[in-house]
Amino acid sequence: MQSDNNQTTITAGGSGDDNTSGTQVPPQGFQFTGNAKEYFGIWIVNLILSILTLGIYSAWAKVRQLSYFHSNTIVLGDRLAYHATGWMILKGRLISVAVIALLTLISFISPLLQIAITLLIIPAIPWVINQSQRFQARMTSWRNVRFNWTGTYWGAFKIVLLWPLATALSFGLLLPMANKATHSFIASNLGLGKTPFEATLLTGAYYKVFGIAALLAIPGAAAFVALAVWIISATASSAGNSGLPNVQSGGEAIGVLLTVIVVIWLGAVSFFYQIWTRNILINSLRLKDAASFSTNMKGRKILWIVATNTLAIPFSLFLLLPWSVVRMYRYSVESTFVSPRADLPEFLDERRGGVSSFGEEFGSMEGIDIAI
Amino acid sequence: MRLRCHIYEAYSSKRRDAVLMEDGGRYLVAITDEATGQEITEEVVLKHVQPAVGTGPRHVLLEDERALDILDPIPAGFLSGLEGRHSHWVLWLERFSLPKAALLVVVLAGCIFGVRWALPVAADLSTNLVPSSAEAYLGQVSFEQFEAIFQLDPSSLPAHQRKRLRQEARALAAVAELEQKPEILFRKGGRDLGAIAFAFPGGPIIVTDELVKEMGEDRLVLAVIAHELAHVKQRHGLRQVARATGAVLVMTVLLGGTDVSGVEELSTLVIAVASNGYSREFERDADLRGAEILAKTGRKKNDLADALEKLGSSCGETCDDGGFFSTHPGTSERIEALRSSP
Repeated sequence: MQSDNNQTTITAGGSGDDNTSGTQVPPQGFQFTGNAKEYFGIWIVNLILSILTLGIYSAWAKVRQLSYFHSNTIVLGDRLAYHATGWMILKGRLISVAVIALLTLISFISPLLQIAITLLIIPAIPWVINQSQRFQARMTSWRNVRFNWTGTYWGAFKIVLLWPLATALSFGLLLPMANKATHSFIASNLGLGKTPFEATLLTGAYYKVFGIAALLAIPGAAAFVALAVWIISATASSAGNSGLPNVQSGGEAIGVLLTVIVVIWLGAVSFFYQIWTRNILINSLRLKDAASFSTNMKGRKILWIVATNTLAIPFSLFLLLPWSVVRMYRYSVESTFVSPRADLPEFLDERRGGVSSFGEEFGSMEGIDIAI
Repeated sequence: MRLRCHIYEAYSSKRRDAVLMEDGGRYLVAITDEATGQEITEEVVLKHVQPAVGTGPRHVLLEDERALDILDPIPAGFLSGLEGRHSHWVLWLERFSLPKAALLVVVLAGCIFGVRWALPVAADLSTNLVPSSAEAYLGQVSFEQFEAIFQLDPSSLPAHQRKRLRQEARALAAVAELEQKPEILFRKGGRDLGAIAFAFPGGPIIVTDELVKEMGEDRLVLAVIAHELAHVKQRHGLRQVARATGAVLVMTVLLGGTDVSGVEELSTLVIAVASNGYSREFERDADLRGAEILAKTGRKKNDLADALEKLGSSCGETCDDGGFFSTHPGTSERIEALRSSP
């Protein structure tokens, strides 16, 4: 049954063949054919086997999870594929755990060595980033061609260390420049085999969405300041007048509620900003001489998904987690489009091998990552 | 048996439609030549078959680095010997049906329940492997860091009072059968700490002037010290670290790789609740064992309850919380437990 469906999508994907060569076919959406029910089974079996094997199966669990999402993602009629094996992931995980355990042990033995180790880890971060990106890229394929990552140490160094520093020193004013640099780093180092991706990113576009986000944040920030002033004055007056505990706790409750609202508001604004800048990248992304990409992802829609997920997960005792993951993934896939050239060229890959999962596993354990 | 597939050139996206056949353990591929329309059959050697996940085409790497995407469903036994021994079993488990899902949820709940039970046991066992010298060193290092951060003023209690309390505390430590008698240090708590006493792993025990003054009587201060000695004796500090680390590890395994906003925050919450639960358990334990130490030195067990009562009356409702997010049980609950213990 399922394969019949695939067949239809393959025909739909190839429908642009009658266009003349060199022109672009109208945008075609990425598709996702997975569903929450199927993923639920994979998720819960992954969990149970991971627990029963004291975590060892978690390496295979990761492979099955990623294989499921990749193989159900269809681009121009063909599915992505994931190629890492459980053994590869397990090896990377074991080495990462050993390294982290050793570092923790050393930091217990001597706080001074701990400082030295931290100073050693910082320059390793760009290396970890590149290793991780390379592993993820090389383990993913489309039409038998693996993705590729060519990021250099210095390139990653600028993105993960220098730009965040510049952003902090400029009180956030350089944030759009930092985002643009990150996006440019990702786009220019990612490739499908030997065919590179590219993106022409305009600083103005990033500052435009930054400006809109800043305008939206102002009422929230103003409310935040007003709230702080109000709370301080309220505490001061209640301290001098402690005979009214009820009034005080009533005021406290309102204060907490308002703080929560303001924090959510500012969180939502920064969330919108992330989506908008992500959209700038996707809308400028091209696969050299082959295709261009676009997205119609809406901040509102994503926010709704995130908000309802955040409620659904705890209230279902985590049982709706697979559903949450699937609907989030589905939306991000289905809001992405590709316009291929009518005569799509043959893509060639490099020889395989020479990748290790250590950087990927170490990075995910230590929370080292670059996000689009 | 003819399975439709795509065959790819090595390291290339160039592909043709083909048919895969099996014949007595040999695999044959029939490729239709685009120009002539003729079908050419050749033998291929399958090198690696991608494990099946869900439905969808199976990716197969050939010995000569060409690749196949098998589009048709693969009948059982077709790829015999090329698939992992357990893959069918896992695939069957994963395939959704309502009764199976319900059963798996029950099994998962059982696993989580098992982990809840096994985690403290395993963590406590692992702390048994830590020699007491290492524990004392750990306590010393954290004590030094504590001193550097808080920079508390030295105690202004009269020297004879401190000496007297120390002597009495030594008697308590002797009864507690501690290998190394923890040092008792008096400090001014100031605005940051106030009336408080706490123990570092393996010692020392810090007692603030404010606590001594609030207690008013030696017997109450010593009751608090007995509680702290019980913490040291039972290695609660080390066990707390081991259990909290275990909780983090478990959550990492459970939710690792889940990339949904909010899940990480929830996981932090679960770890905090679990870790505070352990902390409350240790406090109850230290209360009862502290009272035992008092009894063995000929003091009254109720001294500790009285001390808690005095502390509780000064901090009011906030100390009586004892909920999921508290590190200590509610004060009245602790007093009740002490008074009702035999």
